[in-house]
Amino acid sequence: MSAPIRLLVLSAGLSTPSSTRMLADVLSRASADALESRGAQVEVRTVELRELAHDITDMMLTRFPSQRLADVISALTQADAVIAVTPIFNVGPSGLAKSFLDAVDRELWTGKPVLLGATAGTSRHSLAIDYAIRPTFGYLRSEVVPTAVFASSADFGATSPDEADEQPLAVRARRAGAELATMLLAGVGEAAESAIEHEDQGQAAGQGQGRQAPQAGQAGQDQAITGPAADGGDARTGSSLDPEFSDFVPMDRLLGGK
Amino acid sequence: MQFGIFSIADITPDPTTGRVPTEHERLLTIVEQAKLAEQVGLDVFALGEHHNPPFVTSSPTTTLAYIGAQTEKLILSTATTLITTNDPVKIAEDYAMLQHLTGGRVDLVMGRGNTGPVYPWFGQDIRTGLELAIENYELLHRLWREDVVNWEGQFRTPLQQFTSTPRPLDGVAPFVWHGSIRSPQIAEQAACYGDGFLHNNIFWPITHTRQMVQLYRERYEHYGHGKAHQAIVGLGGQAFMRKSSQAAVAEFRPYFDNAPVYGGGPSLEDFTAQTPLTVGSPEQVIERYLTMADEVGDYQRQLFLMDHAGLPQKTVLEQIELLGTEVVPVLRRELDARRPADVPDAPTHAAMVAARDAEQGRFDPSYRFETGDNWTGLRAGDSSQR
Repeated sequence: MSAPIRLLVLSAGLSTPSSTRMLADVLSRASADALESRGAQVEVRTVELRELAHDITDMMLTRFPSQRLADVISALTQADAVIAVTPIFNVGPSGLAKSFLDAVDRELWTGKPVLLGATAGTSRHSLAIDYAIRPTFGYLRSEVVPTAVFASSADFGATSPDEADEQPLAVRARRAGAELATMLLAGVGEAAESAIEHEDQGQAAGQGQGRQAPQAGQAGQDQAITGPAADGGDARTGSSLDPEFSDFVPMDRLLGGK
Repeated sequence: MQFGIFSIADITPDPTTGRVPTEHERLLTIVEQAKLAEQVGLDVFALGEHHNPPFVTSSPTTTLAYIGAQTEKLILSTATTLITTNDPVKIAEDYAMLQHLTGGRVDLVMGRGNTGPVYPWFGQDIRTGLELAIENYELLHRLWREDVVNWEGQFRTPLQQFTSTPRPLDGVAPFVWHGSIRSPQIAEQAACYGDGFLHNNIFWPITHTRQMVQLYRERYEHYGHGKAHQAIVGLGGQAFMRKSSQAAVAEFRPYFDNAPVYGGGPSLEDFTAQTPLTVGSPEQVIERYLTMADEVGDYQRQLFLMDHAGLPQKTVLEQIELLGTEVVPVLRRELDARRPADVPDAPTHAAMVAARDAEQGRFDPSYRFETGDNWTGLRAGDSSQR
């Protein structure tokens, strides 16, 4: 691999220092080790959502991100994989974690490999990841790593199977990291990206069908419409406009050669 | 360049006193604001259309006609006209009436509205909002340009040999802007018709505004209406002014912190940094709004929202006066000076009549009992071919 693999680590703990951040670091280290041992270069960026708590709330109210939050969203867009770690509160992710998911565009998660981690005071919450968090990422159509890693307070001290209910944290982290590495090196995220491109074009053509104005029978039957791309000014690749600004069907097609 | 104010006619408690105007009072404040706007040299007053509380502007043409009768030069516009839920036949009639009665001092900003429930109140479906905006406007555009229209569409009963009355004043349709904050499809629509594009950016960062306007400009050129830099662009704006910026911030903060739109969200400082809202001295407002043309290119219309968040009428009138006497004269001088000669002004009725006369000869306003033929040369039979 030539370009480094970009791992974005999102930690949604509320305290400083936080055990959620400790788990995030354990998982990012394990993932980076697994990737590097197979010859990949890795770039890790870790973000404490706590520092963006106000920005996230503001974005839900204003619908646009602050500069700091826009920077993290941009990192999320570009990340090859995300390690998302949250404390378990009331059998679910922290409100902070959920708010972040609610604020940013759903599409950013599509096809993105995601390694899930969670912390709680006791191991009685250990299935919360699978019941309360994994379904969200299923809805977001992320590629969730099979092994999610839960750590209760006791796990951080346990070093052998005797001391913890299950396998020691380090072992589970290594397994999760190895699974993430396998997915990334198999090109899971990349395959998803090209599928998204393909699907976007299909949807745009479908919109053409749906938005026919009267006497515009031929609209939508032409080749896939991707906004300005149809005229040589492809907003996706050529123009300086962000992709969201190419989300339209050319009017001359809608109005049937007006 | 045109400058003006717009109002969405909201009823909001004054957070500093708890006072709530009655609907009657609120409507009269709007009329008073519009009249003052003309007196202090502003060009445009634009009124929103809402069909739900806490707004009092369900029938904009009624209010605009009332204002028109008490003003002489003020251009009456909308912010916005709901092209989705109004019958385009009724829009064509209402605004042609207003155009005649005010001597052509009318233009419109088309919008889809931001209230989902309004759709079923008028027999429509929000899921078809964009399609309604496209189809309804195509019909409206024809109703003002063709004496006799045959029409068949997806959303309303067909029209057979229909003539919308009165015909537009001097045979020239009111100028239309298309308002869009987030929908590229509407920028595309405005560009296709060679209409204006009004981007009300008051809640958005300039990075977003710049791209929406650029998209419209690129598409305007694509459709052959002129070069991108010649397209007709309007922006929204928001300001609160006092002599010193400290006084402005102190007075405006309780209104900002409790406003239905941004209360509980970003701080006043963050919001003013991220959006066009400027709270400070008139000089600061001038400084801020002189930069907009650097971002979106030379543009034709700048509107400001001055009456909102429960500000008392006395304060709003002071703000309009500051805007008209201290801010706009400087903006007008500076922005007109920087505009290249080949960038047009916003089309007025007089300018559009002159352009039409130059191109097609003078218009014959004689009443046409025979409606099968008109100055466009279009016949009913031709129309049905489109």
